[in-house]
Amino acid sequence: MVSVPVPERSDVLVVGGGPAGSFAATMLARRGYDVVLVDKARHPRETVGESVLPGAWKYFDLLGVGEEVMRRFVKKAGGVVAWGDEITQIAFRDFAYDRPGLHVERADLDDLLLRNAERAGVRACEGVRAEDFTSAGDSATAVTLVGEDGRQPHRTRYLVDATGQAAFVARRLGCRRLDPDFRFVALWGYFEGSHYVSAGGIVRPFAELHSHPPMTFVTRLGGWGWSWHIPMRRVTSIGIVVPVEDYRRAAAAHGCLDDYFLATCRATPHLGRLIADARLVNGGVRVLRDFSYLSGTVAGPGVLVIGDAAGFIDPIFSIGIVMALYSGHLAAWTIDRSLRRTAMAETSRKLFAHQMRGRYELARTMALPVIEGDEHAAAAAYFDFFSQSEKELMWSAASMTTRSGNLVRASGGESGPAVLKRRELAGLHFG
Amino acid sequence: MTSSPDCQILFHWLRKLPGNLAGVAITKDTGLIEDGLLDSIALLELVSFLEETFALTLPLEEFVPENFRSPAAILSLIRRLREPAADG
Repeated sequence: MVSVPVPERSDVLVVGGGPAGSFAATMLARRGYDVVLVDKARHPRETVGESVLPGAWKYFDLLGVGEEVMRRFVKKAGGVVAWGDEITQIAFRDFAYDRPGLHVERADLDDLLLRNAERAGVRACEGVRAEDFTSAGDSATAVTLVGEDGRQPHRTRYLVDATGQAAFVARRLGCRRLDPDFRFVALWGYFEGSHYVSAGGIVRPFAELHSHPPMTFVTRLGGWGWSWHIPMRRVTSIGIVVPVEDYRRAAAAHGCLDDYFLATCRATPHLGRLIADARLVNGGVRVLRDFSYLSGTVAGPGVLVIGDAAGFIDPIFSIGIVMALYSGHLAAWTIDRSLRRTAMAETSRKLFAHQMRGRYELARTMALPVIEGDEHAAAAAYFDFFSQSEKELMWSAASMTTRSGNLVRASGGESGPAVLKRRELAGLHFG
Repeated sequence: MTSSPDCQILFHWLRKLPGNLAGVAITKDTGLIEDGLLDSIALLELVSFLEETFALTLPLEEFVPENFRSPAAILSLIRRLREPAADG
């Protein structure tokens, strides 16, 4: 990758080259805007969040990368959840999708999307981070960028924060609000030689991955925790999500994080058997704590916040990448509408913020056991933007754990949602 | 059904929706959102199309699913936004 000098001006400056940032940048460059994208890392770079729902295909198609994505990554047929004594399965083909979900190495997917953005005319500068910004109203945002050659001022008509968990804008403004109901820690690592779960709960050796598509496998862990199991092309991503207090207690007792993580995985029903012959590779365990938050603002004059930078709840339903692409699309539309019709800038921003809030509140109702206040109203209003099939997928997925009573209440299904397309499995079948 | 110019313009646009792979015949009462024809992408494109074609501005409070549920609902929205002074 050739180092591009960091430009001093742009129509749109996107900070962060994940799926949200690359999507927004590509769409805006295609509309003729001068788009600069900076990322503190040099791609390909590792990140977590490897499970992708079929809702992402329409965005990949819009980018023109649908076929390449289909060719390169592991296709998944759906999900299997073991929650206490119940094991249930959902299959994407039951929800009007003509294509499967995916398990992707994010280093490769994100790099693919970023190179695609460059081909669309986006000027990407890697190894450059944003340090500070000042909004001087619409169409005049000053951003301080820091690269190898030191600090450099940049002026843009629109700053798009797509920095993920770094949450650049929210941290600068001091409005990154941790979710008080959801103080969790995620620990994850990559395994060689893990068995995996396929349709019907049939457990297979890793080598059969390409002849028998995997399911994303989720197990309950303790009272409110859970684990993920995501086989990819060479390794399997396995992670646990546990309450902060459980983690502190257990990690202190174990001393070494790798030991704690491995002991927990091996002691977890089903998961322990899947990894009986597997070993942790690629540098051991990764940790992320306090990852559930909402940004107090997602739209201001000349500034929009998208993807995980706008908020993140819980990865249990794999909605992160679809949410990121959606928010990238919404941001591109909003910025185009604002720049073409400057009188519409404020209305457009409000619409952006309103839609983003709806999506995040809906995600909260699905992931949290209990939420209070007026969030239900925002979630319920948003829920009706989805098709019947998408609603059925959300209801069915939510019914697989005991954490999603809020979704049923918010979607007006007090007496139970009408259609649950899930299958109960008698157990996992180890060969 | 009476086919006003608005109606013809709208139906011409709706027939080209990528979600309509099966080529379903769209009527005034087709559930556009429910059936997945107007997804999150198409909905924004429709708003841009309506604003440009009919010289409208969609206020935030009108950006609700009910206004886009069917072609009939969209036509009613177009009529309402054209007469802002009528106050309901």
